[in-house]
Amino acid sequence: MKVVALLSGGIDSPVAAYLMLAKGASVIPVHVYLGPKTEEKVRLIVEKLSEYGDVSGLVTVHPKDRDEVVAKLRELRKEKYTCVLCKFRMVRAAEAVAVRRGARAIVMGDSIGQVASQTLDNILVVSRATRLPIIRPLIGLDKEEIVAIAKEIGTFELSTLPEDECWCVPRHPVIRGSWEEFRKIYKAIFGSEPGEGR
Amino acid sequence: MNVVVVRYGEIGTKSRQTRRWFESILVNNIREALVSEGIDFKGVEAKHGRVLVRTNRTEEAAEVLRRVFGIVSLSPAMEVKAELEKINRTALRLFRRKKRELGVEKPRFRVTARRITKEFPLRSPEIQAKVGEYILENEESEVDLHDYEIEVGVELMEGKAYVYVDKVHAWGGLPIGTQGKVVALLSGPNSAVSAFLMMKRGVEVIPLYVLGSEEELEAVRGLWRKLRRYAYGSKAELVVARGEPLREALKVARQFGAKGIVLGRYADCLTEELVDELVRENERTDVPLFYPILALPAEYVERIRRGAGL
Repeated sequence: MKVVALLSGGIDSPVAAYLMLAKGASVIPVHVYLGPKTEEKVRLIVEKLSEYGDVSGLVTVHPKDRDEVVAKLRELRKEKYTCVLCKFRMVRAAEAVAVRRGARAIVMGDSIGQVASQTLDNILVVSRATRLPIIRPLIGLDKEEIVAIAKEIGTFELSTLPEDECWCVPRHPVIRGSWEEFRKIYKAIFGSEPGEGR
Repeated sequence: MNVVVVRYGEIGTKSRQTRRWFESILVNNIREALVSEGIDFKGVEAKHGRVLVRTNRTEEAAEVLRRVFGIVSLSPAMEVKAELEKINRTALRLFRRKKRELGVEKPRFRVTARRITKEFPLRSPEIQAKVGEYILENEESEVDLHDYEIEVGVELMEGKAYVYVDKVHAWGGLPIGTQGKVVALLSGPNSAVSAFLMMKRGVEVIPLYVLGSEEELEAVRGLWRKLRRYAYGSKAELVVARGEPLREALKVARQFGAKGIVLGRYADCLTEELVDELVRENERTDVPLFYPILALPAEYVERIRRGAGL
């Protein structure tokens, strides 16, 4: 199985990718650029992961309009949707890479309830960014278990290296993102539907 | 013993407001667990990152509460006034009881103290030293901070001391009811472990069985009986339907406002044929499909199945 794995530079996503590798999946790592330090970190993580299986070269996606999108969200007074929208667009980016490279599933490091963007409501919204199946190997694990695996496979010390802080994180991210509201916001910003849904 | 000290984990890391909300759900689930198992209790209250369950049936209560998600560990304890003499005597009494239980002549032990609120005049290391000394003077024993057979715990808060010698580990996770609902298609053990892991993350699971045969239905009923022992805080009952499983699951999800469907898919090897199936089932749904055990190691899945008695 060939999959695209989204790597943020955090602790969880490398563990998700590792579990896929351990069962024989080929992994195309995709990273959405935030800054040089984070990208370097992700490079080191990819190098580490390649010890465990078939990992191709890192694909870094550069979002060109991040600042404008964040500004628009602010204008709409919907900053709280920043993280959900950002994740939605990451999945879109991952999908584009998947289509180009012949992968048919996307792997993400979500675990329910860990942070505000990982509620069932928000996961539902983000899932609609693609028609491809999303595999979330960590969905039922506790943070502690994820950290234990990260330490065992040697990605923990890489994930905890200094990184570029994301400057867009709102003070109160939405916890119960609604698809209808998201759709309106998306249309107001991009002038188009967020897609027909999956 | 007159109280169970309940410790929780991840809830502690949330914002203050979220934490309060989580705590109140945890307290409710604890009450529901005790009521439905017929264990009398005098009160359940959340304080300073602990939940205190006042009951005289601490052992049974701890056994039941091990199945309440969100709880990391439990200690049947003695609540006494926070006075050194009382703490010493209680610690010694519990130490003796534990020593008999273990049947060790000269147990190695340590004392671990924590002041959760700080009004007690001695600091934690001093409390440890004093209580340790008292036990050494009165009972055949030796101190070993690292390789010990008995750990005497003393937690102090609001003028009370909680003394214990047992710490039971629970499942961790998040309290059921904090994360919304999903529908879980139940058939065999893999699907039960998958549902279990979602429940552990605080999700209310609506179990669905699509017929099938009568024999299989009986087996699934049995599985759900085992699973629901962990479902304190959820009102869900097994839904039985006829038809095509995923389509029925979508119907039930719409009916209950569930935000996803849990499938028990497991594979030792992630193949292209498998991804074909995932693509096919994914195209038919408008809610996320979750595969909690698909990419997990076989040993892990087996450990959960056994540990949970599924």
